[in-house]
Amino acid sequence: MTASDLFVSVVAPLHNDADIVAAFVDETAAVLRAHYLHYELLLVDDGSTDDTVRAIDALLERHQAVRLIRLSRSFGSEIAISAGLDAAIGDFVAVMLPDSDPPALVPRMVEQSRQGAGVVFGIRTSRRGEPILLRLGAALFYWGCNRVLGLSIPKNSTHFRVLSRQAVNAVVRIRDRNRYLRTLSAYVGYSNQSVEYDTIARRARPRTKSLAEGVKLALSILVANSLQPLYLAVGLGLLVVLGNALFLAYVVAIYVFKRHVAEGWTTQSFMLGAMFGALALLCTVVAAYLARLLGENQDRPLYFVLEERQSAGMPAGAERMNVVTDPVVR
Amino acid sequence: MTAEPFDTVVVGGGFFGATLATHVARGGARTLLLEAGPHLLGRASAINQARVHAGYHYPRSYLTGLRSRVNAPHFIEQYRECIYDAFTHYYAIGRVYSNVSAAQFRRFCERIDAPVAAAPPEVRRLFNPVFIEDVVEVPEFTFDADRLRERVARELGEAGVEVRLGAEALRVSRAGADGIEVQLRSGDAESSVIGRRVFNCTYSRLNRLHAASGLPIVPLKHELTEMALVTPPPELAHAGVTVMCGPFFSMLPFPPRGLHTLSHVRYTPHCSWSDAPGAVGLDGDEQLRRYPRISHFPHMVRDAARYLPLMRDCRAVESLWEVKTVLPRSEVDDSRPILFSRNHGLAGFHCVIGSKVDNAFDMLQYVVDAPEVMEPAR
Repeated sequence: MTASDLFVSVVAPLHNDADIVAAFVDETAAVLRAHYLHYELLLVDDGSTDDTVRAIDALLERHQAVRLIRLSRSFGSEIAISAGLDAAIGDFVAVMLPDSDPPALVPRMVEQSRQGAGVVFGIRTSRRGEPILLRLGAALFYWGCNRVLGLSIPKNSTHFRVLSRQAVNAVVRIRDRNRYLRTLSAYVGYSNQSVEYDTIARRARPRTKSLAEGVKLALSILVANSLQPLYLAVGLGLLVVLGNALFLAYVVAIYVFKRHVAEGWTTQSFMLGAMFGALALLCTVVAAYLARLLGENQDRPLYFVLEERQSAGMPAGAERMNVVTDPVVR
Repeated sequence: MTAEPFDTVVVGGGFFGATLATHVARGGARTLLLEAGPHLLGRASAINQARVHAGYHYPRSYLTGLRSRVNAPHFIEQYRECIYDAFTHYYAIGRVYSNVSAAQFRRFCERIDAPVAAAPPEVRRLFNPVFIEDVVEVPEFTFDADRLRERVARELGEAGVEVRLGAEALRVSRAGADGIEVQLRSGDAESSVIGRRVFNCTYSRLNRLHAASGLPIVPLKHELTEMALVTPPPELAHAGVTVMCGPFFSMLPFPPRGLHTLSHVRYTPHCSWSDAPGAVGLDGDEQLRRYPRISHFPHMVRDAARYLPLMRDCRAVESLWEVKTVLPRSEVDDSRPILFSRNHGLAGFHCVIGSKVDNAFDMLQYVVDAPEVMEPAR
């Protein structure tokens, strides 16, 4: 595929973005037009309540190859991006957030993807402008994910990314309700590469998450993508059960070997220990099966295929002639 | 300059105009058929998907679906030698962005009594299950526009219709008590004929004749469309595929060229304009000549490959360009009614605009055979 044959789609979710959508579309369309013969800019309106759609109508008059998909209400930007990925037809699909991602970078990322990377994702060079607590929280989150939970989320990675057609096809096969493009595109494989970039700000005061929103997002990403917390609970439960067993042995030993034991202490202690031990055991078993259930219940494909190759040689025995000399079937 | 008046003058030698002319001439009327182009059925009658609609295409418009279902067998019987049926037609129902579900589609087919059968597994396997919910096999065919042209020309001759090719109607006006004068241009020569009844069957050019004659404008929407002619992937050489019901594609055999047509709801129309009362839009033929014609085939084939991955192997040969005209109301419910406007601004002047060759019977039955149309206009 030569560069002129490339078809590039750009998917952008919009929510109450009437103030910036024109600037975003003008700039992105100019970049695409300068680099590609075939392209489309797919805007997904995530139930905006302002003039976003009217602004886009004006843009549809002015620009070629812009498509608008309107969702029936606001489903959140992750779902809006999914709707865009479902509809995009490009050989390479770029996903961008209109207020912070620089369109000028798209051709470089597409080129990198064309060299073989299934996903080329952006990493922002700084989190300037965000509240200090959010930045600390983010650092803690990335550390926890990568070190404790074994969940690979590159630090400061953003939604800005280019996916090859193969990667898009894999991502759209996953129909999880709680979706995070960042983890999904890592999950499907196809070699991820990163690109560092400076975010831009189309708004004088960029919309940033509050700390509470950040914590909520972090928790839901963890719960949706990792069973580690449950397995940790299982491990903890087993430790408690073990401790209880030791405690019960201690109670029995006191009863047998000590002469003066307060009346009722043994019964009380034994009962407490036995009950808590049983509870911990029950919780552990439930947690273990819950983890198993969740793992099975994720209706994801078992695997994605990168390619299939075949040996070049002739199959063994191909040189033999298909001739029989003895007509009798033995 | 003008000879004896004709009983009927039909303007426009497409399938509707020619069929209409034959029909009224068989009833004994002295009939003239005017066609601006060099041959009959040269425009939208030939340049379309050639689908003989058997109803499946209109799950959102029960009436259009039902009429197609009723008309198709008549059309096939009457034009047997023009029908191409040496292929299997699969309808695939989209899962994402589709306006109907597979269950709804089957219910609809049941209601209009149109047979569907599940497609065999080896065909289902060709489709991408993420985007396609169901694949069915239906008896729906295409027609060969070249053979249809021969057939229509023969029938015109047998019915005694006078046909003038290269004769463009410029204006119509009242002439005497019960006549209408049609002014013509053939090459550089202008002349005129008189008819007691005149039918305007010029499809996308309908309003141009009205505007030049000071008659009311019919609200119409025009689209400049591109249909790609392709060689299909070998596995689909003897198949037609229609993906329903939304911004999807279809690929059907196009008998005159031995190729398939690939058309796409989103990418076939390149631009559009409208005729509104009092304001005729752009000149479609002028647009066709001037439009840069940058093909949308790369878009069509990429989108198609998402539903049917082997469409990647589909190769473009060339594209056919034509102006397609629809009634604005059809856009809402996807219906395809025939518009018939009787005594349109002028007693005895009627205009007819259809959208599919296969519902010409409805036109003849309900439109032309109405007594007040065939009676001399007063």
